[in-house]
Amino acid sequence: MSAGALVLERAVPAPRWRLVRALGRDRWAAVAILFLLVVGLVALTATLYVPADVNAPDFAARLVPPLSEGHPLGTDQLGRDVFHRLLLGARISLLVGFTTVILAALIGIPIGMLAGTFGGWLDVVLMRLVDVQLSFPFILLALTVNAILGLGLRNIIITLVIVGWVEYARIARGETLVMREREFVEAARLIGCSGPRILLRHLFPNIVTPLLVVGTLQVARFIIGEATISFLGFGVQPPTPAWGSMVSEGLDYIFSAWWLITFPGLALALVALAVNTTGDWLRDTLDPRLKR
Amino acid sequence: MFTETKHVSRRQVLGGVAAGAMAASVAGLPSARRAGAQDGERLPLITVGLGADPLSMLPNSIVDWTTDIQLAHMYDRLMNRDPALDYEIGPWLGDVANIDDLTWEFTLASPDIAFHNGNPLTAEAIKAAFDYAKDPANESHYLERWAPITGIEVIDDLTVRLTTEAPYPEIRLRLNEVYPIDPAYLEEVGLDGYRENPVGTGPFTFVEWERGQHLILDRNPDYWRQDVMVDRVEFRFVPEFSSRLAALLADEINIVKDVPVDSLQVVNDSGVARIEGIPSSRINYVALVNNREDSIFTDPLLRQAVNYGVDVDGIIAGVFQGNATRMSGALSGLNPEVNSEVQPYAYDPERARALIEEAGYQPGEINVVMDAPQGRYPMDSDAAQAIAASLSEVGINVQVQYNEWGTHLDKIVNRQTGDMFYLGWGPALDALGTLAFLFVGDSTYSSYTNPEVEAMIAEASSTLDDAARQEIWNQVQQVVSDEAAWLFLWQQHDLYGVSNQVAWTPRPDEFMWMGDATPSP
Amino acid sequence: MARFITGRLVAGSIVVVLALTAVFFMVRLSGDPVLLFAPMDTSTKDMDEIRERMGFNDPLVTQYGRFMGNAVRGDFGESTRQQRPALAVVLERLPATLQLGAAALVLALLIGVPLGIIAATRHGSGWDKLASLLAVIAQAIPGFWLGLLLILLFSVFLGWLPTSGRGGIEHLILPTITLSALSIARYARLTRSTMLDVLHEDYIRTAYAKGLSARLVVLRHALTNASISLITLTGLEIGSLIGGAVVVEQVFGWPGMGRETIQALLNRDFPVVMAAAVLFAVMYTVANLLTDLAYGWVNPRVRLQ
Repeated sequence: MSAGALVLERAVPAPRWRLVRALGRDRWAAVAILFLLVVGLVALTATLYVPADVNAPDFAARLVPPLSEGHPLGTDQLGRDVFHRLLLGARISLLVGFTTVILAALIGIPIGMLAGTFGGWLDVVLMRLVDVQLSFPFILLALTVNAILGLGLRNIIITLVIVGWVEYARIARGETLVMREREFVEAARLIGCSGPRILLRHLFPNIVTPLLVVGTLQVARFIIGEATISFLGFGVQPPTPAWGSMVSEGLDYIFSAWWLITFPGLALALVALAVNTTGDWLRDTLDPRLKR
Repeated sequence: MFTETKHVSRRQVLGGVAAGAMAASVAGLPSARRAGAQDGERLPLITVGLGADPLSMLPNSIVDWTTDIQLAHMYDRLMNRDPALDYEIGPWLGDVANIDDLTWEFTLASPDIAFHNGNPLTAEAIKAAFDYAKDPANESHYLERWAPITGIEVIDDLTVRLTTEAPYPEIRLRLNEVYPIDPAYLEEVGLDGYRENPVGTGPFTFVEWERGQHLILDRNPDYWRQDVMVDRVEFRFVPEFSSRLAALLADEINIVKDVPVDSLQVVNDSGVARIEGIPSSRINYVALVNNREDSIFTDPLLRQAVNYGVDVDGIIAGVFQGNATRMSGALSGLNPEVNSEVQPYAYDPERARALIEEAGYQPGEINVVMDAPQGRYPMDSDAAQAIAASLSEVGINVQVQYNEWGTHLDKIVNRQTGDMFYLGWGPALDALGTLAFLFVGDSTYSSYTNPEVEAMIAEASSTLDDAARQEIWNQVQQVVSDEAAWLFLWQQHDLYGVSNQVAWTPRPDEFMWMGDATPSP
Repeated sequence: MARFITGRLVAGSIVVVLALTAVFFMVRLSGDPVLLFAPMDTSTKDMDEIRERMGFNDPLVTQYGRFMGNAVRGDFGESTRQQRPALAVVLERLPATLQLGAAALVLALLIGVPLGIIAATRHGSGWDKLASLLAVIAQAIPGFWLGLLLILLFSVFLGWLPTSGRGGIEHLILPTITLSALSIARYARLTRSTMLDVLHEDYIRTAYAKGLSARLVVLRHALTNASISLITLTGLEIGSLIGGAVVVEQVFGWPGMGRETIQALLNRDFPVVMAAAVLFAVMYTVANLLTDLAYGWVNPRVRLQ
């Protein structure tokens, strides 16, 4: 291929109007994004309309089933309104999901790309680091880190970032390995582009697709990771209403109060669905090769 | 006889049992459903769901509740808590007699007790147990525990003499922990051999142990005490509680412990099982740290305020649905030494507010951290939140800090908790194991230090006269209550899910004993 | 090739040593093990004697040196809880974990990859939407919840399958489904997305032009070229299956390494945690080596170095 192909294959940032127009053509993506916006809005404003004493026990109203007066989604074992806690939980869960993914990506992608591009001792050192990290199972590592740091939201995020960055590093490296053999990278190198420039301008746009797929998967995975860590006894501090820990707390009541596990689980699943749908759409829209 | 009990594969085991039990096991059907169908007398199989494996099958090694339950079915203890004596420690393999302040003699009940391999049980077997535990090379947990018993001397076939360097009233507590082991067999197979193929004198003999799966024991037809009514016991290891409960409801296992209060109805309505509950000897309390300078609870007024300010009865009704028994002081009613004149603090928020002001604080001015475990005691997480909510109403803002259990213990022992922490203690069936351990200087678990109380405990611990000792225990309890040493909470109730095919009564000392189980009438 | 493998094995040993070092210091930061196995009514003095006897009072570096010295001889010490060699404690759990992990990986490949191919070749169709939906649902349900739902449905209500334990094939079904759900989703998504990339490449169009049947094109060219991503994913997937097995083993009472390691972590049974770390690291190294060999095999452009 020639230098002309190089221009073609480089990811061209789509003008904003093209994105909007593309959204109009994909109903599901529009719905998903709208849903995420609503959840985001709820997360930002929940404290304005959720009563301040939402976490205060009210034994007179314990385990009220859904669709009862004043409690559309029922109450939990301490008589707290599930709907209100869900609204508050949106903030926590989105925080956990997105913060961890962004932080993990910021650490993992540069490491993976550096290792893949330059190879040699840098690759060896960085990938050994990844190997050391990956050699102990995710959840056990999370438990160990959490056992040291203690229970709590901030520590959950730190834990998930520590265990999460390697996935980006590995994917970024693998894709970089393939891409750097491609002609357009060679061409860029031949016409005298500097290392960082090749990385940022030529390589990154071309490996962003699989990373985006991984990223969208990770958001849901990390929200669920929080639930799993809670299940094993290392969750956020009650009464903090994170969806994940609400699910794991609700597990004790799976035989007696189905709504305690169902609604936070549903919220979690819907957000995951929306994030992934958005990811797919972004991928289809931004990927220049699909536009031809 | 021993050859029958050695480790065999699952297939061999199944081949070796009676046809009825085999059919039930092979089909994965519940054991007990067929109970009585063929044999009107005994249960062919009872399956007990536990969270974990035994840590070792060699006794006198490891202190662990789960391990001990399983060992006690294969081995006999020297002495045992006896339901007929209100769970005081009474005779079992024999009885102990006090010779003088420093000397005790333990005598076996009968010369005809035999180990599963046919070897007779003699005084040498008792000595063998002590010798094993006291050899530092064996790293037994009992090394330090049994250190006060310094001399073990075999007098004759049935009698050992135990000597101590100081008067040791707790000796029965220790004898309740000792399982004799067969010295001849130990000589023959070594420690590892003994661990693989345990041989005791108990009502059940070892069949097989598949780690992570189950331990299977068969009835010992030559048991020296009363015949047990269960042909086979299977302990099944399922770490996750919800899965154990599911197994109970699927009729795969017959007994599970610690059903959460909100699932009681589900079990009772299931048609396959029911709930058997009993007030446990395990007590729950919130320590109000008085022996650390920076704690606000160095002020007794605030400790009393907390006791007046928490609606304990309301929490028992609300969180526990009544499945907990309020304590008046530091001892539960199950203790023979309980001082029944000690009255619980009444719920009186006004009084609490007044006491807070008397202590020099405005309502809402006090901020405290309460450390609490999660999932260690029944409803602990919810109860801690309810206590915090109750206290916030009288103007003490409590922030609950939940810890993983190991961290919780670390923080308590290293005095890094908030000014309050939530803890359970048990089995607490006597003043010695509770008051005398908790309220002396170096114990951080109570976090209450009072020289006057310590002096009384020291006196009681070396007083062998029962009445005189009881008098001192009464005073200790009164002082601890007046001083509001803790926020006194409740005895837990142990709630067991029990298959409808099984008649079984739980015990307050958390000991799941299948020797008493029978087929349902 | 032999040099490559030797090199990787050396690198693998370095990883094992580094992993052991990291885990050693991390678990020791988690707290005091004696508090957890000594009964609560042990006096402070007795506690300290136990710590002294077991060497926990020595400086951390001394303990580390002692541990590593023994470890190179294959001795990871005795489990502080079970009083038998720590390596034996985890080794006897290895077959159960491998069985569960292998079953889940096979199931994931058998369902996930075809699902992804169908979705990609019928991009935008109802099949595509359905595959995506299934994949997303699998990702959105925590493993412990899915496991318990399956137990509720198939064991408690229908009574078809046992709730827990290991034995015949009937014991393997529910844990395998639970464990592989997430992997199925990931394989389906990745297959779909890389296939879509490849399907638009020029050479696929060229192949079409040459007149080969469409099906062959997809299978021969597209899948071969998508395979590098699939191999990368499988390398990762083995790791996450072993990780996911931890939770599944817990829910189904499956007697595997993960469940044993969780117990050991909670009990601070350091020798067992260390022995488990070694086994995990070795499994990981082997899986990695196979992954790299597979890269070279499907795509000679990636040189083995």
